[in-house]
Amino acid sequence: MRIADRLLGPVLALFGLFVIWEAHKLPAVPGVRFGADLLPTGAGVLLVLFGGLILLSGLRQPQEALLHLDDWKARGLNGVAALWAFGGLLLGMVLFEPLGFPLTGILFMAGMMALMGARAAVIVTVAPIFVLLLHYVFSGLLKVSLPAGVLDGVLP
Amino acid sequence: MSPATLLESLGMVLQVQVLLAILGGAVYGLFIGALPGLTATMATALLVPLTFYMAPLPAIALIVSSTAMAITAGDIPGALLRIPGTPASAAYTEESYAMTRRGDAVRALSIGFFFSALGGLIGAGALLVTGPLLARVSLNFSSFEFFWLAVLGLLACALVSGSNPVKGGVSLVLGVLVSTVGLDITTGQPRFTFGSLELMGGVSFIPVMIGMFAFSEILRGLSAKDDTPRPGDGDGDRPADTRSQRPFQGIWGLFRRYPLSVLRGTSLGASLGALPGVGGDLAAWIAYGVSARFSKTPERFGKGHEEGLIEATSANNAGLSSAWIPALVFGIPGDAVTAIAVGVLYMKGVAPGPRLFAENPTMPTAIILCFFVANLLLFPLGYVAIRAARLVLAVPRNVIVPMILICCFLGSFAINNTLFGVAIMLVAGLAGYLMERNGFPIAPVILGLVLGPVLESNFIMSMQIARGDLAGFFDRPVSAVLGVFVIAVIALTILSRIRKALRPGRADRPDTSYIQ
Repeated sequence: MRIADRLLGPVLALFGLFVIWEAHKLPAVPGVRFGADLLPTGAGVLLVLFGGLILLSGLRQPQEALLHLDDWKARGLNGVAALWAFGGLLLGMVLFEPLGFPLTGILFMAGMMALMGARAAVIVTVAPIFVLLLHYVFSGLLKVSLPAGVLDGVLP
Repeated sequence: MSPATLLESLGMVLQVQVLLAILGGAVYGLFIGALPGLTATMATALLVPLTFYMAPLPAIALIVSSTAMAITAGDIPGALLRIPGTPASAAYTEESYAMTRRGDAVRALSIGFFFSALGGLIGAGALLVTGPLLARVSLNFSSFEFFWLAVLGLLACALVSGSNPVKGGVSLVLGVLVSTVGLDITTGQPRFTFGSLELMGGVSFIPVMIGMFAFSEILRGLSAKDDTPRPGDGDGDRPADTRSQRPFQGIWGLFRRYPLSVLRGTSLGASLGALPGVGGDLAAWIAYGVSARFSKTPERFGKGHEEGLIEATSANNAGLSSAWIPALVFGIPGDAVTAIAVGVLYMKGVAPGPRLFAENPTMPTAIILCFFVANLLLFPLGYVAIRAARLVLAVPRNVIVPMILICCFLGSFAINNTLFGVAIMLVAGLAGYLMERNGFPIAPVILGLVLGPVLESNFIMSMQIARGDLAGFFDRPVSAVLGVFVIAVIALTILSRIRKALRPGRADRPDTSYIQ
């Protein structure tokens, strides 16, 4: 998604004003001249300034659409794979505890490989081996508490 | 530095864990760097969760060797496919690809590996000599000087990280802003937490990094049309055969023919790389330009001439090593990779800065020695890489990309054993993707995130010392010089922008931020 500078500039400036407003609400500590609001206020002021400069530069550029959405249809399966990369990981967060990491990981990876055009033989070989290897390294060797979910007691 | 310190540090580096970390990092960096679209910064970001479980020196050794190897291996897709693996290799991709088209792919890759290793060794030498000296000088620095150094680091990064300093500035400010989330370091007040307990501890920089450099890169790769050439996709010229010739054959002859190029490239790389925000990338571009300017045969540049390639690759890795000077000596990282490394050092309880050289000199010396080992490894591993380059490039994307995504998920989770890290990674990845699509460089975000607390704590401390008087920043000689320098840089940047605005049509420096 491309956003024209003449829209990006005001959005950034408004965000800067929001930051300044939020920083202003931080309670002052008696006797302290520079407190918790200093850095956020400075950052907000700079965002307003930079937003203004981007707006000015946008107004000088040839006029283009304010919002240009990427043509995901033209990307074909790669576009769907990009959506799965994000949505699949979001779904993975939901299924992580009940299903466990190994099954969630295999499902996600197999879906991603399929959408990117991998052959079925490669998918059923690589996805389980890689995910189970990762599970062993992180859970067994590095002692990260990864949920095994439905495979609890089955995996070493 | 005393010989005893050097010997003790050498003993630390020669431990099995450290050597294994260097070897593992080099092999990993070689693989990632050689694959088009996977960058050295992404390689480093994905390694950080693993370093969480390692001792400080092996952890840094892993980062050092993987970065050195990934940056050098970035020349492989550049030479064989005309896709630069790193911003630095973009400077001479046309040159090396022209050699490949002539049937000299092995020679082009040999030049890349040999002179990168040489430049890296000289850069490490500069780091070994100047590091302790600078640290001794900067021992007298107080919060006033460190504040200005942090400002300088942020400023330099914003100015050189893309073709538009204003957008670089926005990236930087966003990074600083993210660093303010959580409990305030001086008063303990919650800032921008919006009632979330998870945000009280702040935004961990590791999921942000993984999201910005790895996840966004994957999204960008998937959203682009797949017109990636593959080994053997010729255009009527000679194919990129990397097996019939011997790597490094005739390299010594080139070294003797172009000694001045090697000397100039390494000196330029070592000196420019040490400037915060510059690193090896700009050094390679400048070295290539200087080489063409002073060459006796400038008409051969761009047509597969070795001279520019030698000078730029020497500068590249020399800059990479010397970029650690500000990171180790002042604790001010100059680029994304050193920002990650500084973050890892803090995570391990090792605070980089002059005190580290004074109180525990063996640690920084051992880190510097890791550079020597990592760069020496470039010779044997480079030999193998050149022979196997076509095989590495043939690994299908539909296997690598899902593997990296699973690593992104797991790496973000493993930091705090919470899915909140994964959520941060996804948000940062999406933000990074949108930022890059709209011309905002992402490296300054990480620098802002790491340097934000340094900037704030040094400012608050200085104001407590000076009783709130801002003139205190100009009371001490070094602080005053740094302050004037910073103000001059800002003023000159504004002036140059005004002049450019009055004279439209002048071309900017090539924007390489798209391949960071």
